[in-house]
Amino acid sequence: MIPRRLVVIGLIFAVLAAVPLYGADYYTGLATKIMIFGLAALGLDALVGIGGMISFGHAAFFGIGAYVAGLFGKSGIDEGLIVWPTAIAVAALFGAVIGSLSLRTRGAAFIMITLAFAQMLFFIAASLPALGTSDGIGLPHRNSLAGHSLGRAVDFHYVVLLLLAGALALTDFLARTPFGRAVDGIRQNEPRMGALGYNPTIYQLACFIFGAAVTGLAGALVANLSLFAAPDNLHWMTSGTLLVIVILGGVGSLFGSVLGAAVLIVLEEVLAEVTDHWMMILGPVLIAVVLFGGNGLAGFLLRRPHGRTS
Amino acid sequence: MAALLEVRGLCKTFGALAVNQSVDLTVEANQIHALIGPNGAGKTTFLAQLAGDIRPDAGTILFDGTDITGLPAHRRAHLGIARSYQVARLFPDSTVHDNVALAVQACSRWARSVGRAAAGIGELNEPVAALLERVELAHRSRIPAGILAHGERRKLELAMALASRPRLLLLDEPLAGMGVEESQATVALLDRLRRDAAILLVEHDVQAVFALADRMSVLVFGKVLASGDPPTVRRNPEVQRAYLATSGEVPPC
Amino acid sequence: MSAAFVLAQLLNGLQLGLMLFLLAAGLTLIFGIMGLVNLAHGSFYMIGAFVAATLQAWTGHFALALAGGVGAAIILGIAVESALLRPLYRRGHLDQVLVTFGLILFFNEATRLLWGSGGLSMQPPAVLASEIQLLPGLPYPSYRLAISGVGCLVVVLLSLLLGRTRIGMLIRAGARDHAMVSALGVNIKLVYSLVFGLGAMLAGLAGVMTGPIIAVEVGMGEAILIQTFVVVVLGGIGSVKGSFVAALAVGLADSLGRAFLPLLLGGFLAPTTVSAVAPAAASTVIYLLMAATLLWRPQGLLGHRR
Repeated sequence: MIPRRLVVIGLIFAVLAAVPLYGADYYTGLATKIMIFGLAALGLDALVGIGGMISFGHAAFFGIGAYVAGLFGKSGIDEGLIVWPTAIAVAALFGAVIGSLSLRTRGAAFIMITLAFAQMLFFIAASLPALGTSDGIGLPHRNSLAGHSLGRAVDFHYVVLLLLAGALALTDFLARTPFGRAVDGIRQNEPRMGALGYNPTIYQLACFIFGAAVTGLAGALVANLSLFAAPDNLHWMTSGTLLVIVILGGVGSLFGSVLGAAVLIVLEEVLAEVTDHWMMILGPVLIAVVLFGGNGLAGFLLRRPHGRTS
Repeated sequence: MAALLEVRGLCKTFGALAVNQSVDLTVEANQIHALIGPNGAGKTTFLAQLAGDIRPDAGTILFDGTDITGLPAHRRAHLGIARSYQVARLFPDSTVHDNVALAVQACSRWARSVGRAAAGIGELNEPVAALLERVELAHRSRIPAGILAHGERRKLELAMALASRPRLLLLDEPLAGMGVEESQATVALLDRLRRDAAILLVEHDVQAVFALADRMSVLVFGKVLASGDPPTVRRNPEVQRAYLATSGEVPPC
Repeated sequence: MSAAFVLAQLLNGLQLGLMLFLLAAGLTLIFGIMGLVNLAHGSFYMIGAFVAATLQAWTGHFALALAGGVGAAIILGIAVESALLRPLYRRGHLDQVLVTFGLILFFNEATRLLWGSGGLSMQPPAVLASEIQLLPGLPYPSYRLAISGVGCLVVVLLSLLLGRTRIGMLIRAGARDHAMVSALGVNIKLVYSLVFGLGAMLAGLAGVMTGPIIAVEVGMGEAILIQTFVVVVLGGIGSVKGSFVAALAVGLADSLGRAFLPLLLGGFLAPTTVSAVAPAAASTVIYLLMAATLLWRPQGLLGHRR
């Protein structure tokens, strides 16, 4: 029998693939946005759910990816095969620096420090003329892929779909390797892993860099979606949003990030129709989900009949 | 011949409480050295300093002639020091098998290889099974460690400590919570282990201690009261007085 | 560059540092005692400022505004603590971060709903509205001096509370070593409410005092919260004394950085480059200070190695 997890993942991707066939461009764009935020949150879930590192500054890498795309766009380079790997590499590089400094601490201090470093990048982006200050950088048009234009929403949608599927498969694979299991062991019991002979910091740093790289790719894609790299991509609100997506989807489930993004983004769209002050509703909803929600949507979908999650 | 472990003048205070006051202790290779003492004497803190979980305020720790006082825990593990914990510290979400696999993997050459396929974990199955067999836990390998019974957790702890083929085992009350039969089997196992490793054994089960120990030290209020072979220590009047004063138990004569 | 200019910048840094300390002291105690990472701490700062600005607009009295703003922060703090946050003390940091993030969203939007998104303004009390001549050639707003005065007064009162009273010493011991909390031997729920109320009060006080020299607007809480985090980490989590030292260091570094970095960069860069780079460079000063401290002392200036 196929594991239920794979069935759920298959259904999610089937729905995402079907959207452009039946929906207007507006819905395709919405689905693309969901996938991009799902990808960004996937990078964060690798940190939080597997590595046990609660970063409140993960938007830093989202923004870095976006600004890489923006700077390339400004200088006239629009080949995705150049832009996207560069975004991944730059985000990974920043991840290495921020991660190795932040990992000198753990717990609450780690949360505060990641937030502080992301905010530092926000201030730099918002005040440096080369990065467009608070206006950000506009992209003249979307990146192409191996020379093929991705200008049509449908084409871009499917490219994002493939990238998301690839990133999910890779993350899932890494989580099952000896490396991934060691990172998971450090999340569960760090001193024990040290006593067994693991250097926890090295493993956590590798995990941090990986998460940064995944989210960096998502950043380059979001700049392509909105044709814009803005300081908002780096803002702490975005960091918070990514964490919310992770917990809505189910911490550590990886694929749940896509579900969490879908719920949050659709909820935003619907609530924003009803009232300008939709965040007054979102805040309490979020609090209720945390206090009473169990392990997010993934936990709910994978629940066995007896009620234990797998 | 130099001792395997040599501790000189180890001191640790928490706030106003001096937990270890200039502790000296020597463990020879392939010997079982028991460390006994009433509750709160500082035994667990002492082990934690040897393993590298806590940094001493003063003193030196020599392992096989090398100063390891400032080394982090994982480096000491690579040198051949393994420990078990008084309160079993397992990975509760992972299965018994995976707990041991993590321990085996920590010391295998490809522990760091990220690219190794998930299938590669199969290579661990053999050593893991052998370790579980050794502590008589093979039949429980597929259940999450978090739901093991108390005595079983101890055995799992032991299996994980043995995974690295250590030269020095630091065992913190390995028999606590075990039934009589389990306890006897574990004593027999520790007895056999002497061939491969030295053991520093913290244990309250006095019978087991006297059955196993080649040498023993008594720690009271953070100080070593006596050290030597078990019969000598047993006859030491200070030891007897300390035991009467603090816990009411007398080591059986 | 005159001595007067340097002195003015030092005074500005002192004043920012003292305000940061008011927030950091509460935050570090709340984390120390309850183990709670409270992202919504800045909300008390914001609410204090908004209520005070409104009361001042209605009555014209600064003292009334001060009392009202601080009172509102205390009431809100104790209400939030007992209704929502208490079940979180035993949960992990992740749940705490998300719930308090939800609170930020709610408070910010509620403030926007009640007061609109334009923001408010506050005036200093009439007696302090003028400038005084500190040194020949150094006029300085007397209200800014008053802020520092109030900050110093709070530092003294807080150190008396934490250093001279029984409950205060217990709180301080509990904050430095979490295991001590269970040994406090007093009504623990009362201590929780007390500590949280104290934290909210200090944050509210900082909000009211800062109100006349900044724009009272939605988002002001988070702007200062992040600087406060830098202070808390720099000082060592759980250490009030550490927070004090770090708050002054951050306040001075930020003010001096903003004032002198352009001059410093002007020494070897073209003026146009300086005006382009200096604001970005100045805003990174405190984060670089934090990074350097982490490399040197990961546990913070006066923190415990845990």
